[in-house]
Amino acid sequence: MDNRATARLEAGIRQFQAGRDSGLARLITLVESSPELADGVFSRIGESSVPCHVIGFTGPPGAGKSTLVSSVTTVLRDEGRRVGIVAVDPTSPFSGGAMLGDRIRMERHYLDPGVFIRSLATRGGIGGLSPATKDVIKLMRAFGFDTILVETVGVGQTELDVMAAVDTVAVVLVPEAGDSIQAMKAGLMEIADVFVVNKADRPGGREFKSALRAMLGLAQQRGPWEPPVLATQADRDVGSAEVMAAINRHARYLRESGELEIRRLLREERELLDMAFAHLGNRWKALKGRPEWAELATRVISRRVGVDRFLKAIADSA
Amino acid sequence: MERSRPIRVVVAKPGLDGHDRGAKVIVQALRDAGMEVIYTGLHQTPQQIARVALQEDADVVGLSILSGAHEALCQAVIGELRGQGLEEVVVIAGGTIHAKDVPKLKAMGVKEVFGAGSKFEDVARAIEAHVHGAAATDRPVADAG
Amino acid sequence: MTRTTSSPKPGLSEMESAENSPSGRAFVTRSGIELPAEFTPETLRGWDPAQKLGEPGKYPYTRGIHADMYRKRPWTIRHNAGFGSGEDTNALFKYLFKNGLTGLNLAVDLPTQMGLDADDPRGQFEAGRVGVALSSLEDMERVYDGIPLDQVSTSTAMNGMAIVFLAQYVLAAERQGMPPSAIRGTVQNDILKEFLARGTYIFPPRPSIRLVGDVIEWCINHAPKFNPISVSACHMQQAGATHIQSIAYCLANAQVYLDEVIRRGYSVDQVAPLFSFLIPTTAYFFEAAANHRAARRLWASLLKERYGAKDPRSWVFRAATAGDQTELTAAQPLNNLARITLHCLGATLGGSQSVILAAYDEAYDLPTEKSFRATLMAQNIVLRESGVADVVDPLAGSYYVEWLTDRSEQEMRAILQRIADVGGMVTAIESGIVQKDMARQAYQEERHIQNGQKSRVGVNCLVVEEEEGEQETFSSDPDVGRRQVERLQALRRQRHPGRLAESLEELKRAAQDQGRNLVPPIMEAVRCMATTGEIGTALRDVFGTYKPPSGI
Repeated sequence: MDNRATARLEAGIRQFQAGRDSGLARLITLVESSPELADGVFSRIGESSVPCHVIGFTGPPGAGKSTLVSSVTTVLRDEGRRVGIVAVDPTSPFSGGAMLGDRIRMERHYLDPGVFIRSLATRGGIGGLSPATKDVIKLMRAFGFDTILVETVGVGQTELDVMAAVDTVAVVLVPEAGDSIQAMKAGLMEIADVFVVNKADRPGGREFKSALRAMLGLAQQRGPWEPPVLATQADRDVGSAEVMAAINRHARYLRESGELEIRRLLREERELLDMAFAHLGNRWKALKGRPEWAELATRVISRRVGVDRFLKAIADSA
Repeated sequence: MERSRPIRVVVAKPGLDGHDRGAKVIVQALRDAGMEVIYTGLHQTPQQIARVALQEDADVVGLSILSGAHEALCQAVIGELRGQGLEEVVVIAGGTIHAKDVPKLKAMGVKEVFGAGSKFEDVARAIEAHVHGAAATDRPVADAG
Repeated sequence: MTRTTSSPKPGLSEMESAENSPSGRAFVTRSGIELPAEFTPETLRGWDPAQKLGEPGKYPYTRGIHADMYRKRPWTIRHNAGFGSGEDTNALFKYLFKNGLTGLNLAVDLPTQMGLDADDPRGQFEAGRVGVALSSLEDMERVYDGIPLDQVSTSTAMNGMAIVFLAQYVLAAERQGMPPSAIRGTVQNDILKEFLARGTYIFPPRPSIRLVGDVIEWCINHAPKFNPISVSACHMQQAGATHIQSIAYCLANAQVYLDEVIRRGYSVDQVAPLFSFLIPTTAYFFEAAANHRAARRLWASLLKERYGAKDPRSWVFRAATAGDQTELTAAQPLNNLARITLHCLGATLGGSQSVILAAYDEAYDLPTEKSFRATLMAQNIVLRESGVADVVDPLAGSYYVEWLTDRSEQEMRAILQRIADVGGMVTAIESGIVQKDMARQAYQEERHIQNGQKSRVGVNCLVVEEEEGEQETFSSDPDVGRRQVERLQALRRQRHPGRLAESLEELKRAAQDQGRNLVPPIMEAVRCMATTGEIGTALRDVFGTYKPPSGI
């Protein structure tokens, strides 16, 4: 690392430790752009003693996720809680750029010192989050937020990452969308801890809610927790308090049932494997051009050499 | 070797003017130039813009102003950015701004002024030059080595 | 856009874009309709002039709303004017009348449009800037001092606060000794296009539509000569809609307002005749004219067939036309005079009732006295020298223009259907789909200009280097905001605080009651010298404010 990067890192850590938002903002940029710096950062900033609940909001585009996040934030602020918000939008596969527009809906919190909003681009992540999201959540936790709200991209089909990143998943749907039913078939159903039917005043809202309940009744339960179905009109702050109450009930359930611990272990396992794969991938990128490695790869694929020998060879090459 | 990361730009509409065609066009153009663009929406106060720039760790704040109040609004935004310790953020302005006002805006710290019909390429290149120019002093990107 | 795993949502209009044309340079209209090189008698085979055109001044009004059009009634030459203080605007109006202007368009500053007083921090720096500040009844009286409100016809772009404007206007007339039944003029009062394009919205859509309805309803009963609504297509076009889309959106918006008043128990024939429209004209003047003719035919048919209107005045699409400012270039500003002239042709060949054109220097500044005048004269040259005004609907029967008119009508009908399919315009606005379409198209258009696919003289072809700074520019008075604030503060000291507070409380009570028309309580507050900002605050307290979808 050169001097300038070091200076920026040091300044970021200093400001972070002093509780200044600019420190959090800078460290997010650093861990997002240079994951290899993350270890160094986390070992120095330490952990917060404040218990923290992380809530994911996912669902199809146009469901009103940002509006709901904003409305729920108002509820949380009224309870005196400090809120970190991570809003993820897609990176353009063509240019590598992104348009990050979710925060427009959260404008009423711009000047609230108890709310910190950060927009992230997916930067290659395909599961509705960006690869850095988990690190960003960790930074926000360490900064002392007691509630972190994570809004996924919202393509609706492949957003399973959120489950591995948060404690409670809220799936946000709208009545008129045949999309929503599709999305549920495609797997959102399985990851929801709480269902929110937003824009519930629209025609068909009531019917949609009952249809959803019926579908849930038929579906197999993952455990003793039955995901409640709540109706909101987030743009009018209708129903958000009830959503938060349900999420709080879920948090209590997680603690009391021991599932929090199970989820934490699963999450850590997945994160560990992700880190290992990422590391392996990087090493492999550096090696694969060489003929002897290409040959080894062919032999591994044709099952003539065991994968354990392959991994050992890579480890030894370091 | 320095790893490049996308430049982060906050595009904001300060004041009450609601014509956002230009802002939305430039948001798309900078996205296609490989930047991460945060759009604040309409009717923003200078305080709000500075706070967004801080949270988003923006390299650049682009102000779109068609109301004729560009002098006062740019001054106010720059003042707020300084108040937040964000002196190094590159401020650019666009909209209906007459050539005669450009020197005044530059004197207060606006780095570039782009009028109607500015080429996207020129805007993107100017932003890159300012951000990477600034990086040589105090805006480094992380080193991968 | 970049959400690669979801299927792209179809836009509200799916016209071929020039970008997809294999030949590179595509021959398409401004709205993207592909053009063969030549039209022949075959083009109009089976086309029935009796059905498609009718007679001028008769259903379906394709040829114009009057039998003899401009021979008897030249179009009204309008100009946007208004800046600084009431006195500044008043002096400008008197000057413009002397120079051949026959209608006034009053520009109002942004704080007033947003329901804020000149000293509100949210509008700091903007009082008196893009128009005149109308913070109170006194300001309105200054603007019209010596200008009789029963004789001039003023049109004003007030929307979210149109209802306050009406109250101030009626009371200013009263102080000139005129009853509401005598006043003339137009207030835009078209809030939906603010949500779609212009951004000067205050309250959420539904209470906003109620206020639009209140203005129309009050005028039906008390001010029959006043146009309580002028529905605009121009702002959508500026935001990126094609010419055809912009008119279709405008017709969709108009129907929302119409439905709002009919819902209150008025017949369509009481309401529809009060509607007027504002549509854009472009340098692509054949299409501008064809689309205007198509809009007239479509509106007439909607009103007659769908709404069952019996009174021919309900069928008539009365429209003012404004030049497309996005076509004007900052480079070589004098070239814009040629574009302005083409705009005027598009408007008048289309049969417009009133024409508003930009000044050649508006691409980078507020217009100067000289550029104001050049635009006025350009209109007078078209009117007096070109012969356009000498015959009715000069383009009728042209293979090309009649074909284009038919295509345009089909396209507009298809867009109206798609809006209905998504649940109506208010739902479309709240979901942001139309705004997204427009933003995407605006970007694509700019790209086409930058890569030369679309010609813009002086910008991407025939570029001439000009010395900078040779243009004379309008200089705004830096003190205007401060003076406005001082006046406002003086006004606040002179009022009867008890009466004022009671009038604002009564306004809030009325706002909470869906069944009450808010014009009378607002008029009472204006009489008590409530400021525009105080009335705006009272209404915000009840209705809340609106936050849009991201729109990109």
